[in-house]
Amino acid sequence: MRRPRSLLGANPPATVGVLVIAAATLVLPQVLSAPNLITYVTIGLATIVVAGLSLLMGFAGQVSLGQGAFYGFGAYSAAILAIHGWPPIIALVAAVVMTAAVAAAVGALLLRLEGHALAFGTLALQLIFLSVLSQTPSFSGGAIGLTNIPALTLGPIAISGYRSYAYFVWIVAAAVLLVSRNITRSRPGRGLRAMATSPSAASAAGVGVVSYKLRDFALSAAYAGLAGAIYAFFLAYISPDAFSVMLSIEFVIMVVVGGLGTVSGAFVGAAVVTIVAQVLTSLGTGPSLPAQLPNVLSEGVYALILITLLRLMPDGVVGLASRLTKRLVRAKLERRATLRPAAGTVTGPVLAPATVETDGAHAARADGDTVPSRGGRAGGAT
Amino acid sequence: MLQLERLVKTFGVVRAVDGVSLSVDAGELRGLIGPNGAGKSTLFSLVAGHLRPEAGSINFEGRRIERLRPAARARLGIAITFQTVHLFRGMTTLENVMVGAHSWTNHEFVEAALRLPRHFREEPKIRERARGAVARTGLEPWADVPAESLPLGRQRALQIARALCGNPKLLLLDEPAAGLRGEERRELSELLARLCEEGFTMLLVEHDIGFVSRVAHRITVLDMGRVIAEGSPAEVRASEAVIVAYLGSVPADDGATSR
Ligand SMILES: Nc1ncnc2c1ncn2[C@@H]1O[C@H](COP(=O)(O)OP(=O)(O)OP(=O)(O)O)[C@@H](O)[C@H]1O
Ligand SMILES: [Mg+2]
Repeated sequence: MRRPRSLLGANPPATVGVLVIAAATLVLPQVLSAPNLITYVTIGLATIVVAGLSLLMGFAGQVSLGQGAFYGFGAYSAAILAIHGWPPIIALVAAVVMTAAVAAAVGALLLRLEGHALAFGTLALQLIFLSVLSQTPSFSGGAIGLTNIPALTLGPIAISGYRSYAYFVWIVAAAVLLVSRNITRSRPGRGLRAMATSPSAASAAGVGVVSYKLRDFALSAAYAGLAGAIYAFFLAYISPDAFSVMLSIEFVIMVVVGGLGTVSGAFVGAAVVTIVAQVLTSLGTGPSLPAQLPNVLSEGVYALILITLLRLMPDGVVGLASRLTKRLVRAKLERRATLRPAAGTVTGPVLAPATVETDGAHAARADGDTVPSRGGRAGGAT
Repeated sequence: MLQLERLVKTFGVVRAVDGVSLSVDAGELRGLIGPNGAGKSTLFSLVAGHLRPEAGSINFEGRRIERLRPAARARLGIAITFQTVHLFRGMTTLENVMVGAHSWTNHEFVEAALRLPRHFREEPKIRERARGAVARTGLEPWADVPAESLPLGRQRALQIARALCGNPKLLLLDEPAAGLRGEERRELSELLARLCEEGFTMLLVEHDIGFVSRVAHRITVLDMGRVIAEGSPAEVRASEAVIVAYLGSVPADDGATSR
């Protein structure tokens, strides 16, 4: 069943969405106040990190609790190189490459292991990163941080001021999302998606599962390093406080809120969590309130969000939204079908939202479907 | 083309494959039969690379392959369809089949991300080959629907299409006819006959002896992880050891099946 092509292309809602977003990114930096511009840039940076982490969690089925460290590593690499006289844009690119290289080295050690090795390993990496910072004051500025980070210039154009960053960050975010899309809609992306639901069938088809996981991990780290490097130039000041373990956990929550493996989910998750965090901070900050309150509040709320989401909407806000739209579309098609039964309207199978299912669970189901008399016996192939 | 020598694979105390030696010629369709738990699927996993043998060797076109990973064996031309259907959920039938092309294509993350030339060279070839595989397995009407929404028989066909998209030399088919209805079975045996004419080498596990006898050139019988008989379909069906170990009783006619 092929819909006639309209002016808006094959998928009108998506095209409208892209146009609305493009218009918003052009207009918003002009109308937002300075504090809101900072939030806006922060959301853009978080979107970049979350886009990468969601590729990792959605496809490799791995969680990284060290995205904050990669973000910080990108920030420090770019800052230190730029301070030592590298052209800022070269420092930025080098920071991305270095972050990916670190992730590749760490991943090569951890991804061969089953289970949560990567989650724990990346958490350890974050702690090592923070302790290295505090041990190398002459190099990294120690607890005080680095202050004299040069301004970012792209040839003749200097990027300075909140407004130009508001444009720059979102141009970069758009480029990153385009890269994600290009990957998912091609050979390596199909391999990643295949691997997410059946690693054994993917490997039998020629997908090098371990190396794909490794590339996926390095890519997600590169995204974080890129966002971190931009962050360093944006604030012109970085310190270890900005790259706490809590930041890594925030990134994971953003992925869960937005839903795995969708481009729009990265933005929704980043925006919702950033704004909630800011509201909590302003709620918890007051003359008579204890200084720890904002932290305690946000930790409590994050825990609540995580538990609620995992129970109610395992595929995130965007997954929930698309499930609802599909239900509406189906209801409409069914109504049409009952109105004109003779026309033979094909409702077609309703797309189930892509969920990550383990090989074992699926094999068990297929086994049940195929040969009920032999239920419970594991197929030799898995 | 394929030589297995004294392969051994145990699971705890179970000797699932217990010293199997087997030789398959190029272009041959070899049937592999045996009672439940005989070790047929385990043997396939050893050849496809999902399991490593504890002893013995696997030669494929003159190369020792028993230490290679599954993806490397796929690149040499070995493809498998699983007894328990393995689909890539959330992907369409065509996309599932396109994954099969991994074994003969090369463009990687950076090339896809930046849309470099090799991406544009390979992508249309992948699509074309996948469309061909979808067509010859009768899956055209389902090409653009999510694979998990297909009826079981079509899911089995999808596995074959995915294997064919990999341009394999050796096809390991683990009970491709299980759960298929009469018409679908006929289509499958026609497809197997055509693949045979095209020169594919195949190993076919199937419980329906009538079905294997019609399509296979030779049949190997496994029981308790060992080869207990080998020969033409007629020889195997006449063998006393097979009748005792596998069938339990003498079959009445061609239509006899084990289940
Ligand atoms: N992953 C595994 N772990 C433990 N035991 C296994 C595993 N896979 C297979 N086995 C055991 O190995 C033996 C051989 O199993 P296999 O699946 O190879 O038999 P099969 O000949 O394919 O049987 P069927 O006709 O029922 O498919 C059985 O006893 C089975 O229980
Ligand atoms: Mg089996």
